[in-house]
Amino acid sequence: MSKTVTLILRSGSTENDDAIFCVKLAEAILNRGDGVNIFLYGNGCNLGSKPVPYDGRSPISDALREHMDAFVLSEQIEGLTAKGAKIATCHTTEYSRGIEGCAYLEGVEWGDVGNTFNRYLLSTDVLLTIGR
Amino acid sequence: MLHSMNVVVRKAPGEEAAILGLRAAWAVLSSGGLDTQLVYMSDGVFNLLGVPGYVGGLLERFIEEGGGVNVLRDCIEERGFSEKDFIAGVKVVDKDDIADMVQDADATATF
Repeated sequence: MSKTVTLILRSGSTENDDAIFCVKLAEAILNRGDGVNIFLYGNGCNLGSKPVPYDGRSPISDALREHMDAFVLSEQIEGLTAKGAKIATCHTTEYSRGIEGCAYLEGVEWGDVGNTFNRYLLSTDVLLTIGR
Repeated sequence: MLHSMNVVVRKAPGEEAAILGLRAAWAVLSSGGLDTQLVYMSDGVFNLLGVPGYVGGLLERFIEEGGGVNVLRDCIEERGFSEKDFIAGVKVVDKDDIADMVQDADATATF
């Protein structure tokens, strides 16, 4: 019988090991046939938004950009939702970062700790917090 | 489905994680109806000194609504505090008690 793992992700930005670990763990759980909920809380909410391209002159070198691009998780996160993962942000922590109005990645949903997180817990067999 | 949950807070007031843990615990208790225990350890114990404003107010509501608030004895002694320094309703517990709480609860989240 399949189980559902809920991950609370509290870290999130490019080059962040916690976020990378969370995404890889979620993928492994899905590939095993189990369910995954990810609640993007605190800095984790930064991962729910679509990247906003910048056309101006950037001080980031090509080498650094190439390095950082390897850690951008947007496509992997959209891949998780396409495979059935439920991923929601905490709008309060988005509000505190001024990103409440940003468009979400495909499949990522607006959420809150009072409703969304509790709804996740209703179907949760295992809960894991990832962050520092 | 989870019926009980521990929320461990290790961060001092002023760090976002301290607020996130408390807010999650309160939401799980008040909206989710889970048996919820807050466990403060390390610098998290400073949250229990009667901090004014959002943290203190939400802790009060959490206790009024039936949530449990626990603090690890070792951590308060290391910081020179005693039981009487903390807000009403806080239970001082030992490491063994926390081990039992983690074993007994359906889930434990850390902040």
